[in-house]
Amino acid sequence: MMDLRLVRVDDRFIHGQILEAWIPYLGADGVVIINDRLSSDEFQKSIMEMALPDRIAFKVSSVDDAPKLKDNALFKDKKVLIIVSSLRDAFNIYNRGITFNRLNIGNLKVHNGSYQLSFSVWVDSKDIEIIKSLMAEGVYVAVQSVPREREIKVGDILEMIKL
Amino acid sequence: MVGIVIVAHGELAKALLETACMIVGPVDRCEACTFAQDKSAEGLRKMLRDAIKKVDVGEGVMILTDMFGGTPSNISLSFLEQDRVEVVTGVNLPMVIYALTKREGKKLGELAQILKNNACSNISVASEILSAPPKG
Repeated sequence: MMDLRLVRVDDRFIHGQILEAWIPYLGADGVVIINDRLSSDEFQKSIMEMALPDRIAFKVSSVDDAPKLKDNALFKDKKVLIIVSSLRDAFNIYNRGITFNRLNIGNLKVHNGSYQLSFSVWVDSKDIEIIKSLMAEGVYVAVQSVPREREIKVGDILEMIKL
Repeated sequence: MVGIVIVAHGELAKALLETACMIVGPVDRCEACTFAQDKSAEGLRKMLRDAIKKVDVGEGVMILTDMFGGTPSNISLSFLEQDRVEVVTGVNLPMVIYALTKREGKKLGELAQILKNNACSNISVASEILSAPPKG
């Protein structure tokens, strides 16, 4: 059974903030990316694998295969960071049994004409629905790009901008 | 002549290029791409594509980037193409100066190897190269 430390929404996947800030902060020794497009992109997978330190167990999974991760021997007793690139995928894995009580939103810039929650996070109305559904399930949703930065509780922002 | 694109986190690429020009004078066929925190990876990809086009005279383009595994490097690697686009990570000021002044007449792959070897041998610990100060 994996020890899931954090689920993060980050459309940049493995990059400087993950390597230099989150992995050391969490003491993570496992990283999982759950993304349908990347799960069939061998080139990107190998680049990410090269970027991660050797001691980190790493896997890219499709959303449908995500439930199998929980009992994957590769992550047995590992402190795992899961990265998805959208709130939709976060919600999809939650509904498939990868549950979490905390969701970190780091980088999300893929939408057009959406609401800006921080300098690095934009969401659309569908995302806001998802955030509200997760919050109703008791999930704490916060925007924070790196651990040393103050986190912003998304519930507070939504209340402030009356969404 | 190999075209050069520098891409790094924050304003680093721009600062490296401006500083290198301060030392070696104005240069052609070299672009710097900045990656501020509020920019998207897609925005950077477009900026990089435009920069490559701008510096390319048909003899290849060298992308110098800061940190392997970082977003500027990840996006640079997606442009990798044999004999057309090469990527060297760990960019620093001596590397930029070397690339700008020594690229004439060199092939892309050859320049990449020289930059790597040169950058590795350019890092020194002062106390290792200086004799110990006299005591008393």
